[in-house]
Amino acid sequence: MKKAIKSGLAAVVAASTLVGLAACGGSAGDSKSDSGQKTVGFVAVGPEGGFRTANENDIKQAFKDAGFNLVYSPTQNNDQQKQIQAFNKFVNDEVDAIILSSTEDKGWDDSLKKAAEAEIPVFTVDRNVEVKDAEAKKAIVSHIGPSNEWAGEQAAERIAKDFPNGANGFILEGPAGLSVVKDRGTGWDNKVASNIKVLESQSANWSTDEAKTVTAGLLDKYKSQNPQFIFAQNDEMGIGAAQAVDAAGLKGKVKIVTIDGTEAALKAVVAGDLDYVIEYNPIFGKETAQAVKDKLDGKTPEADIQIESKTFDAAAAKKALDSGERKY
Amino acid sequence: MAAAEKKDDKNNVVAKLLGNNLTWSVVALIALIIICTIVDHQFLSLTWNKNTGGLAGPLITMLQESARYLMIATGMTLVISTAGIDLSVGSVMAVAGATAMQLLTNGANVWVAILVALLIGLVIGSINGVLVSILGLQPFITTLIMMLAGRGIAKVITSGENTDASQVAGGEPLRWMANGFILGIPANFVIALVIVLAVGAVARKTAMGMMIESVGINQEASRMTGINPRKILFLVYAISGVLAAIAGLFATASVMRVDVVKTGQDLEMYAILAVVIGGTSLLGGKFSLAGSALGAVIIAMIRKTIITLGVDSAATPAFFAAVVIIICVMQAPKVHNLSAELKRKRALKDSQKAVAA
Repeated sequence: MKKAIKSGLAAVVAASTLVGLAACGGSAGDSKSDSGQKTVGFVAVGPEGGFRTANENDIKQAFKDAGFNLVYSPTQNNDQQKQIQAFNKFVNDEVDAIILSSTEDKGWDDSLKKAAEAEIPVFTVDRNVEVKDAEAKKAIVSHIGPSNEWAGEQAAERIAKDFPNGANGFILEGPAGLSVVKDRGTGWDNKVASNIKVLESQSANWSTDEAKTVTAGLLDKYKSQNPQFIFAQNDEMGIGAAQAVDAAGLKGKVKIVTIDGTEAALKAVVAGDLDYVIEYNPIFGKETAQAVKDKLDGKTPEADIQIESKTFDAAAAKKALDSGERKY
Repeated sequence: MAAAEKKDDKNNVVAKLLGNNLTWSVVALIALIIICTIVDHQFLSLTWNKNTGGLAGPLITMLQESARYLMIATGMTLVISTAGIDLSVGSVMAVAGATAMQLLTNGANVWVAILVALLIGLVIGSINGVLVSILGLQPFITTLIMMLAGRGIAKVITSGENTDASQVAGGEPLRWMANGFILGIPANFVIALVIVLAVGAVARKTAMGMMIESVGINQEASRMTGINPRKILFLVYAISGVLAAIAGLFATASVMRVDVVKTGQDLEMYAILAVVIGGTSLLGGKFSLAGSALGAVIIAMIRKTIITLGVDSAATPAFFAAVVIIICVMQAPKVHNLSAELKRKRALKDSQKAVAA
C-alpha cells in the first residue's frame, strides 16, 4: 500500500508538471513574428465565470484590434504557481509587454524583478498586486481596472440608504486571502453607517450553492435578531443567498446587495430577489491596449487607470437589460 | 453468581459497543449537535415552513446538504472496499450538473435532462471501470485523470459559463428533488436514503457485498473461487459514477445553477473522509455502508457547526481537519484499549509491590 501511495504521488507530480508544461506551451514559437508586430503576453485567470469570460474576451479583442499579437496564457482553478510560470516564460521569451491579471496580490516580487531587469513593462489589470521590492515595483507601469474598494463603499452606502434607522445583517465573503475580498471588505468598512450592524461575516467561496447553505444557517442562527440585509461580495453568492431568503419566507424583508453586475444578477434585481447590484465593469480592453501602446510609443501612461462602473437598482437593471448592450 | 454473570454480559455488550466504529460516529454526531445547541439554543428547534411545505430548522438544512455526501460516500465505499479509489466524483458532479442545467436552458424536457445527466455519470464511471478492470490501470491515476478531465468537460459543456436554469420554466421536478419535502422531510435526503438502502440491500442480501470484499482482499484468490473480479471492479466504478451524477444533480438543482469551478470541488476528499469515519478500511476488503452514511451526515454536520459557531472563514479548513482528526482518534482501537492497558499496568505494579513486600 505504501508503495502504491508513493507511486501515486509521483504520478500526481508528473501529471501536474505535464499539465503545467502544456499550459505554458502553445504559441511560444510565434512570438516576435512578422514585420515588427509587437507581442504582448497575457497572464490570465481563465474560465471562472461570466465576469472573467467577458473581461478576457474583451482584452483579447481589443489587442487584436490594436494590431498586437496577444499570447493568452490562462491558469486553472486560481493557481498562482501556473501564473508565475507563465509570467517567467514571457520574460524569457522577451515579449514587448506583459499584462498581468493575477489571482493573488502577493508573491510576484521575484518575477517582477526579472521583468524589470529585462526591461519588459508590466500592466496589472483587474486585481492589483502588492510589491515590496523597489526593483520589482519599477516593472509595473500602470494598473487598469475598476476599484473593488469603491464597489464595497457603494454597498455600504446603499444599505445605509435602505435602512436609515439601522439594521442587522450578514456579509458573505469570498475565499479568505484574495485581494478582492479584502478590498471589497475595506470599502464596506470605510463607509458603513454606525447603526448598521454586521452580525457575522462568513465565507461562501464565491459559490451560489454554498452561499445558499451558509445563508440558511445564518438566518436560523440569528432569527431572534431580525436580519434585514445581506452584503454578498459577488453576484453568485447573492443569488444563492436570495434563494435561502426566499425559502425562509423572507423575500423582500431581507435586502441583498451584491457586486459584479452579471446578467443573472440584473435579472434577479428586476425580479426583486436582489435589492441592488454594483457593477464591477469588466470591459476595459481598449483602455488596456491604449496604455500598452502609449508605453511602447515612449509615452508615460497614468499609473492608476480607474475604470468607471455603474450601479443598478430595479429600474436601472431593467433599462440595461432591455437595451441589450451588455456583453455579459 | 447469576448476577455476576449478568454483569459480565453487560460489560461485554458495553465493550462491544465501545469497540464499534459506528458507536463512535454516533457519539461524534451527538457531540457536534450538543455543541451547536449550547451555542445556539434554537439549534434543535423545528418549525413548519408554509412556504416550502416542510419542516424548517438548522437540522433540516443540514440533512438537505448531507444528501449529496451520502451519494458520493456510498459509491466511494464500494470502490474503496475493492482496494481502489475514485477521485473523480467531484468532477462527475460538475459534469452531470452542467449537463442538466445546459439541457434545461436549451429547452430540453426536465426528465430528459435528468436522464442524460445520469447517463453521463454512468459513462464516465464506466470508462473508469474499463480502464481499471480490463486494462488494469491504477485506480488512483485513472480517476485522477478523470478528475482533471471532468472539470474540463464541464467547462466545455457550458462554454465556461455558470449556466443558470432558475428562470427556465418546467424545471420544477428537478428543483423539487433538491429543495422539496416528502412528509416534511427534505426530499433529497429521503431519495438519498432510499438509494443507500437499496445499495445496501443488494450488497448485503445477495453475495455481491462479499464478492466486492473478496476482490478487495485478493483479486487472484477471488478469481480462483469463481468470482469475476473484472466484472466486480467495473461495476463498482460504474455505480460510483451514477451516484456522483445524482449528487451533482442535488448540488446544482438546489440553486438551479451550475458553477463549473465550484460544483463538487474538493468533494472527493469529503467522500473519502466520510468513508474513513464510517470505518471502511482504505486497504479494501471490508466495508460498512451504514458507517459511511453516518460519516456523510457527520461531514454535513461539521459544516453546519462551522456556520453555527461562526468560525472565522480563514480558519474553517483547519477547524474541519481538526474535528475529523478528533473523530478518527476517538475511533482508534489503541485509544479504546488505553484504559484497559493502564489498569493492567497498575495491577502489574501492585502485584510487584505485593511481592516485594
